[in-house]
Amino acid sequence: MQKICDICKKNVAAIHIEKHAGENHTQMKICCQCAGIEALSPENLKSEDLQKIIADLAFLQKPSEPEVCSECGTTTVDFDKSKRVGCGACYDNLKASLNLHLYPNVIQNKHLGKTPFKLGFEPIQKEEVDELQVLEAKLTSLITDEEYETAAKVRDQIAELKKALS
Amino acid sequence: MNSFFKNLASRSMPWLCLSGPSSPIVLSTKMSLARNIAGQLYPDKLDELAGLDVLEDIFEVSESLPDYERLNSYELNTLNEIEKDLLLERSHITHNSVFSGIAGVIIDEEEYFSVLVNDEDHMKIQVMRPGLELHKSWKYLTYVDDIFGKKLKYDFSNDYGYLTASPEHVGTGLKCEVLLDLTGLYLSGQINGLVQSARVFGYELQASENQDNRKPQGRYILSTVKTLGVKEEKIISSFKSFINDVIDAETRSRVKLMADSSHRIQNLVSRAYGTLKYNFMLDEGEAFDLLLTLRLGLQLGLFENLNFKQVEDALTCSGNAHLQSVMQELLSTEDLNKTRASMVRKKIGLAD
Ligand SMILES: [Zn+2]
Ligand SMILES: [Zn+2]
Repeated sequence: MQKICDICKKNVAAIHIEKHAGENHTQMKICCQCAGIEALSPENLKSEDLQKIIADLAFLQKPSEPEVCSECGTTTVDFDKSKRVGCGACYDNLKASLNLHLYPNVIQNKHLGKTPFKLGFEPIQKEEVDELQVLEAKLTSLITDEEYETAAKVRDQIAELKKALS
Repeated sequence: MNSFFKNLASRSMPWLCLSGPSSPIVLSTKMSLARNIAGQLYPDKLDELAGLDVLEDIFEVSESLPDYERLNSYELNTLNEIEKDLLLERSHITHNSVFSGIAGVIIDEEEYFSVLVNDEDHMKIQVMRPGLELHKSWKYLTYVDDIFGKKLKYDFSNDYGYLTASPEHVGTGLKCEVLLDLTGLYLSGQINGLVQSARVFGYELQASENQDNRKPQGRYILSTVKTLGVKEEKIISSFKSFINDVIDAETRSRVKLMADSSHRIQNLVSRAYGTLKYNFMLDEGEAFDLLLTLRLGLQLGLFENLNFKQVEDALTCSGNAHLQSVMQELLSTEDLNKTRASMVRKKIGLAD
């Protein structure tokens, strides 16, 4: 019996991946198209292809526990539906559900712009950082931490940035 | 209907008609800041009582803005349907806010400045200018932001900056956009390439969606996307240099277009002019298409007895809500189309 790809549910799966993390075992079958590679056979599989596949396997990450904001009652499900938070506290209370790093407007999780007027906040005097450097450092540490979902996104951001700079 | 609304119905937005830096390729600049007030739920979650409290607080602080006498503040649920539609057609409010019950708007007499209250966020402070005026707009915007910020405690985190209802705006809360006339790139089939390269640079290029399902013609909105992890000044200066590249590309393609196919374009424009002159009924979409074609002729210098303001006035004032405001009543589709035909003729100097 041929195995069907778990992502597109259409093509024949070419890759079988298992992840063992303590008690949790996850497995996944995917086709070449969904893995983002032209064709795949053990002979022509390059190590960079393999790295790319691993970085793309966001879905191997277990979905985070459902969260709820104690201030406004917004839940993970609410957020997934509306893509809006209910209050400022949601940014901490629904942190895992928000997945801020996935948003195209997010370059790094640290605000660099102006700060409110006379409200006791220390104005941020951060040096203007090199975007590319930040992202590359982020990628290395994410791969070390096995945060493949985030790593895949960051890798794409780097690729886009490099293309833009070239 | 008060004089402010009567005035609106009779003209297009002044910042869309005047010429400014880099016009006529850059028609106008819009810049906005999303802000929320600490300790309050966001508008989606606010009940009516708390929502109207927030609205009142914001209206009250707006009294300390410069030129307060020139500002008009409205709670949307106190306006009638025609008035709300008129603000909607001019993009001062959103569909969402029309139905919210707690939304409001502050607009200056000439429509250069507005604050949308309790829409997606508690406040969307917005500045509009003719042509390309990013630095001036930012200067004014941040000045007004500080006036509000001195009296209202904004929702802010050291990590994520200004907190917003949608994570898409968190950080600076800043969005910059320019309305562009890219007729040259559009007609020469280069728009899709530009959409792609805009994305690579972190911008978004979209057909200006005044009319659903109509051909976009040459009008596009280019806007910034990045908000977290980058300074406002950096956003603005990078955006400006990208826009300058777009202007160069458009200028080159217009020169080439006029050299290669001036007769084809002249034919297109003359036909549009003829149709506008001799017709009895015009639907909204057709009027839009024909007027944009006319505008193209203007861009390419094919008219001497017509100016951009006339065409912009005709474009804006031929919307259904505008026609009904002028006529002071709700009209049937047939009456709308008849009224539109003569309104457009009047605005472009072809009065019956
Ligand atoms: Zn597949
Ligand atoms: Zn919340």
